[in-house]
Amino acid sequence: MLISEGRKTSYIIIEKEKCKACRYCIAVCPKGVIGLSQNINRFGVNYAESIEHKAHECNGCKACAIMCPDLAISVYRSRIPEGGIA
Amino acid sequence: MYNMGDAIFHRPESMPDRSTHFCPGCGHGITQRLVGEVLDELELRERAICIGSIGCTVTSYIYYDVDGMEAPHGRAPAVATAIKRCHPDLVPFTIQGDGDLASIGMAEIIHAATRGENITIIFANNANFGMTGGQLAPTTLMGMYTSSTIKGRKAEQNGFPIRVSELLATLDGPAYIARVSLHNPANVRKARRAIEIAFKAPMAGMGLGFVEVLSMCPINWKVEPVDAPQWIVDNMVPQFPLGEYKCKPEVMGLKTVVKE
Repeated sequence: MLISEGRKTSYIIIEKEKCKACRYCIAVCPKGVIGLSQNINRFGVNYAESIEHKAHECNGCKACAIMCPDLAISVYRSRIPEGGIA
Repeated sequence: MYNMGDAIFHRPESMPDRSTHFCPGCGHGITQRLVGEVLDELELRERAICIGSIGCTVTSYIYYDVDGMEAPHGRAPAVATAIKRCHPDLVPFTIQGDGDLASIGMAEIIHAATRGENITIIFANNANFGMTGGQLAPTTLMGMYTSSTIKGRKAEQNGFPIRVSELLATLDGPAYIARVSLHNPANVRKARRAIEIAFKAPMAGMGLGFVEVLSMCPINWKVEPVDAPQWIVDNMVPQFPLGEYKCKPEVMGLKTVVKE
């Protein structure tokens, strides 16, 4: 799939070893990008992660990162370079 | 060809990379991060002094890459006063819980406020003593179950909750007093703006900057973390109305237009 140039894409990175699964990010995400993983981390909880087939819907609103009490989420935004990407 | 892009939200640089020790869903983590963002924005890392108070915020000095000092129970405003008077160029700030500030340290905060000390105090109000197991605090709501009021808070036995922001707003010393909440992203942004003014006003020598933050404590409220923000809206906001309670006329000039 070719993504047209000039479009903004956003994505989030959740540090799984910091997540305590309070699910604030899941509650506030307007696009439903975030879900709980099937695996557990060192706290023994099912940590939050961005769902693979929905991750491209992230619009970079930062609501999840603003509500995260454990500073586990960082948000990135990039512009697709000329020619687009395959 | 495809770069990582620009980070539009990341951990504040004044906060070292470490996990918090708070319970899942605790609002203290958000409060700590907001203070870190303000420290970054005002470039205070070399000048700020973090006063560790007692309660869940006791280790707040380990979360900031600034110099710190630990104060005895409730005495953080007194320690901050001493630091500010000995070193007027430093910026002491403290994050205090409601058990610390409104119960044990009530005398210190009232007198620091009425003297108009140029210090910043962030008051995290979660309606109980969080660290010791959720006992009755001065801010506990009427009828609320805690581990020391197992039949709910009753007026004839425990009195009524204290509204600290309204109490301090009657004094002439404070420059800026606001009550904010953390129950949704919009209110977290408002909280960040209030904390920013609470740092700027004392730095300009106008008086005490005080922000009361209604904070989640799902473990001691015995609610699911994901339901805790709605618990604040339903129970705490009617008792503790949000808003600015005091803003000296000269402080209005410190308010900035938000870029977003």
